[in-house]
Amino acid sequence: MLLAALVVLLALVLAPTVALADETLSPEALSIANSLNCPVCEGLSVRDSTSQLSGEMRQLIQTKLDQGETRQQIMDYFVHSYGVGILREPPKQGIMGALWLGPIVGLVLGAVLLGAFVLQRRGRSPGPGAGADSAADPEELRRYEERLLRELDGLDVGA
Amino acid sequence: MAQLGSGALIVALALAVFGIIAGVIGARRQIPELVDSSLRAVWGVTLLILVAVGALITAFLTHDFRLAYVAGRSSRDMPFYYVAAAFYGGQEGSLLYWSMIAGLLSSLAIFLHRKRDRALIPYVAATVLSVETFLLVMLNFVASPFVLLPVAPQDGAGLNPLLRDPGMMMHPPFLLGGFSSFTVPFGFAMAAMVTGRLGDGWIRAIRRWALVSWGILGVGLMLGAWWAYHVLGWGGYWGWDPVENVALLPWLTATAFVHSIIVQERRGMLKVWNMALIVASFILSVFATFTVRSGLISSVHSFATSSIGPWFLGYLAIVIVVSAALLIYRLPGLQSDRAIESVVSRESGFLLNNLIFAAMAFATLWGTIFPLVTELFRNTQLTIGPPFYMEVNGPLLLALMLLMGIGPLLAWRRSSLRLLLRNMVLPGVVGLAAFPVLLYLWRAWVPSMAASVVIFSVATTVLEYVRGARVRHRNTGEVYPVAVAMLVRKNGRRYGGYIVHIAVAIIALGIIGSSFFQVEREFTLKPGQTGDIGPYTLTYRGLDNRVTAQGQSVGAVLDISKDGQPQGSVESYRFFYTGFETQPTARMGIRTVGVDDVYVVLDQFTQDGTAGLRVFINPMVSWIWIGGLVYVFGTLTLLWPAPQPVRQRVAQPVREAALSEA
Repeated sequence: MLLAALVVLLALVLAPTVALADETLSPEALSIANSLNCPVCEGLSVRDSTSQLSGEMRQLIQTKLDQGETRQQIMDYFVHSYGVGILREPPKQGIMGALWLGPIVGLVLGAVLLGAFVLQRRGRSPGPGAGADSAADPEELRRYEERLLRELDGLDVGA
Repeated sequence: MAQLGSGALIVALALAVFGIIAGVIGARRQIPELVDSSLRAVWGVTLLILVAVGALITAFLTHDFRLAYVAGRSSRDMPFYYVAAAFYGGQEGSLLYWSMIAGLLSSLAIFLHRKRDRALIPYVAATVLSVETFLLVMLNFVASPFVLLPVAPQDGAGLNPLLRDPGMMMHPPFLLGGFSSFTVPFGFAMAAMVTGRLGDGWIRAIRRWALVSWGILGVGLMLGAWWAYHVLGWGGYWGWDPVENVALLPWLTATAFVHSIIVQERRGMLKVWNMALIVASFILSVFATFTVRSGLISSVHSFATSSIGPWFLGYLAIVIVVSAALLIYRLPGLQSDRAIESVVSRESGFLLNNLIFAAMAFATLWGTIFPLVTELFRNTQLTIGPPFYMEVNGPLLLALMLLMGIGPLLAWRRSSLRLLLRNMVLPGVVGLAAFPVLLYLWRAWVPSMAASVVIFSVATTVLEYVRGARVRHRNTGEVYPVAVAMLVRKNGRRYGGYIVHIAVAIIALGIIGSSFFQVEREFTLKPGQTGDIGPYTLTYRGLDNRVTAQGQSVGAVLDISKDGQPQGSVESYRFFYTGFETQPTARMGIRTVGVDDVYVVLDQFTQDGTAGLRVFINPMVSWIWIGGLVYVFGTLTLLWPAPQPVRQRVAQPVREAALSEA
């Protein structure tokens, strides 16, 4: 019994946010908390973090909502205090534009290179194809099954 | 033990250096004895590393706290399996583990290929040994696990609480094993480039070993996701944390490789690209090891900060320069044998697949290192969170799913567009029919569309089995179930690959369901009170305090009912380990009801038993784990040796090409 009390006492002292009964958050507050980075932990949002600071931030969000502030005002407040890095989804402009531009440039560049590769190689050898574009449908299907048969080449057709 | 371990490591280093020299000189001057001794050096180095590993594990199990590493990672009250597992729980031990797996797999590869790939093997040995040399230098002089403390403490500090979890017994060994296993295909690639034997000989060897690495790494990633889901308590399984990202990178490039190597095998194309991919996979593996272990990028894994950073950066630079130089030097020998004949062909399907995988790898790498770049130039701390990765990789994944449904229908060289469309009719109808049903069920456009695409590709894959089975049935008279089994058995590469495709589809559906339809609520409940979330009612029964050998645990017990029907109960724990009371860890209470996971996080609790709970309904997460099992099964079928008659035929040039070119 003493031990159990000790555990609870310990937990009370150590649990990240003790004043838990207060933590009744509206869905809107949770949603705002989820769009902010926890400033003291790595890679977790304010909603997901169990750190004390995040707990306080959640309360602050709720308090501000209760005082009638809008989502945008609250977000602006946190950006003002912590910098744009606090946003989990920073605006796609300025330096953050470069973040979003990178993969797009990469993909376009890759696609162009790939297209050039295919077209240039194709131009070099026009050779006759294996397919039979003009054949009738049953004929095509038969060819498809033949091809499959060849590809499964472990089979003995006659056996 | 410490002397034995450090002695083994220093001898291993000397032997590795000797083996490199012997291998290179033996191959240059054609002295078979020297080549043989370099191969034996690989086995010897591996054996010595095993001795060191044995010494370290023994030190752990006997609580030899004179060793700083042992004292820092274990304590007497830990159960023996965590004590043994603590061996790879820190930087020094994980480097030792890395070199052990690299050694074991290379030894096996060299043993299996020493006769068939005689010309390559000395350089394979030399490359592998050069990797081991780097690691052994680290293990001997920079990060030795056998450093002694001046005074042995009474008890050790214990293992980081986050690592005391069954998931942690499995996740790091597989992940690190996956990274280190890329040493083998890297060895073959370097050997092929050094010798100029870029023909078909090395392809089969490298493909098989790349598959091994790809499979191990995939399992490691999956176990990491599983651990995160059960322990970290934010309701998800993949957080796009920098360390997760860098671990994903080699898997992405390796996935691209296991696809595009088929093009080289069948059509003699993409040689430069394949070489670049496999070298990149190795480099990214080293980069990933280094990122996990250096704290270069801040992440939830940063309990492993250290000073090994510059060494790894230097080594990476050397590997990049040497392999790039070799690749450029061998460019003439890596010209394609054939040209692409049609845009509508299996070849271009694979090319597109590679483009998408490369784009995903690039985007992920870009987001991961972006904060480093901005910190250099702007001095602002940035965290690139999941939204960026999801918005960039989501559409790419969807394109990949679509391609997975079309690719298998494409013929090599050129496909008749009409036949392709005809073959797509049935899967297309299935996919299109699924869409309104899903839309009705889910009432959301994007996930319904995404899931329909996945269903389309599943239909294609199933149809491939049906077609193959029909051909077998017609020609051998086998009944359909036997025919399907024989397809997988005799054409494991094709139909085993499709098993992996199905695994990926199951995982994709799990990801779609859980990312779009997660529901979350917070409750503050006194014992006996209930809370509703969706169709579920949770009744909080109270706290369950326990004292264990390692510390104390608190569990919140809840009964679950759905629409009034009882569905069992869950217990969500918090653990307070002795010595780590300020870092409580957790085990989530998860109950799978149908497709939903009821996921309970114990956030806080007070003396009167009031609990602060965060409850998630995570639909379809269990599909991801099922898909993971199917992935393992598919990978094993891919690696299972083909039956004899097929192997003989495969050894011949591809018959289809020969026929149609005649």
